[in-house]
Amino acid sequence: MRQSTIAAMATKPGFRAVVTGVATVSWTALADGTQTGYAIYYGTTSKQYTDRVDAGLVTSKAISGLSSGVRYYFNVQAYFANGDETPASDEVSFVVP
Amino acid sequence: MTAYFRWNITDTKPTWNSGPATNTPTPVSANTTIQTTGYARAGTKFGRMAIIGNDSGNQQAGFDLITSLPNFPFNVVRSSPDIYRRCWMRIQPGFSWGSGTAKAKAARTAGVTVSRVSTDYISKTGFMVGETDGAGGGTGPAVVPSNYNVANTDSNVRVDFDMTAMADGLWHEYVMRVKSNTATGPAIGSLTDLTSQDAVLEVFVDGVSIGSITNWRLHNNAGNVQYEQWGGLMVYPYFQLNGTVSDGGTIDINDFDTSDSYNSCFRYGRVTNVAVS
Repeated sequence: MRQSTIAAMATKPGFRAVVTGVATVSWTALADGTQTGYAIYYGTTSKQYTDRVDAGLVTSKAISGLSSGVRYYFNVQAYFANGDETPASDEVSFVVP
Repeated sequence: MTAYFRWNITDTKPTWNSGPATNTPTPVSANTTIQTTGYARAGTKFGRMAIIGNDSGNQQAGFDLITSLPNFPFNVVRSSPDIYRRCWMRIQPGFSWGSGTAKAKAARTAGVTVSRVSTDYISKTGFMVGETDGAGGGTGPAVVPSNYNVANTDSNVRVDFDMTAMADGLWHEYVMRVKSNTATGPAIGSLTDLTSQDAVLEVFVDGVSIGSITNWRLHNNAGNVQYEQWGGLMVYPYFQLNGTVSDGGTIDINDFDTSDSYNSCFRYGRVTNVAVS
């Protein structure tokens, strides 16, 4: 979207800009060793996640597009070639700046 | 490990004996839906069942596999491999099993020459194996030494557990293991040859064994081809709450696996040291 368009929209009644931020989730590799990747589940209510991001076979992942000032809850699960996923990890939360 | 049946609902079709199933499972009625948003436990989709309490003992839910599934890759009831059935359930707060029969038929093994081999039950107060009367010409109900001559009830073989405590809105894993007896048991009503009664029911909740029943007899038939009639645990459950209109509620289901060995997702461990910044 062009800057001029954004500026024009910002002058209209009821317009409210949504500021987004980033959270970086990290974890220790699963000791099992046969995992083929990790999935991050997150949302704004504890243990009731609304989104899932496939992080691949890494131990850190930045998640963008989160709403600034809002607390998010995260859980990381390893997945396997057969489709299994580990049970939920301990949950962590973060207020996106 | 040999996986006989796997389905995470995210995939359109299950796998059966490592190959894709022929048909796409479909919700058996309007009481079951596939959810595409929300925490699916694994993958991105899960099933949701809206269970009524006043069901008069007759409430099919879950997913119809359309056609009979292929046979298990073994053809005996007696001395067959263990069968571990896994599912994950999220029982929503407010779900009530009621004060009626308060149970669900959760899985069934059928036979070609003996039409009814066994049914796994999940109830308000525990996990059971029943309906082992071999309707269709087979022999022998599930019996335990203490009531060896009691035929074909739903609760002869039972692991007690308080399912009302699980209505917390969180995903929990359930695994029911059934091992058949290795030898022919006594005739119904005769207290002989108890050593042959070595069938096992063992139940795991969230990766922990909550109890087992041993020294009972599942079936005597040694030449009966088995097949899984409903796919796996809670894939195609048949609720029999026999309660009131205020009973029932919502149960989410996902991540089914039927295998010949322990198939709990807890065996992998959990991801640790999760941090966010």
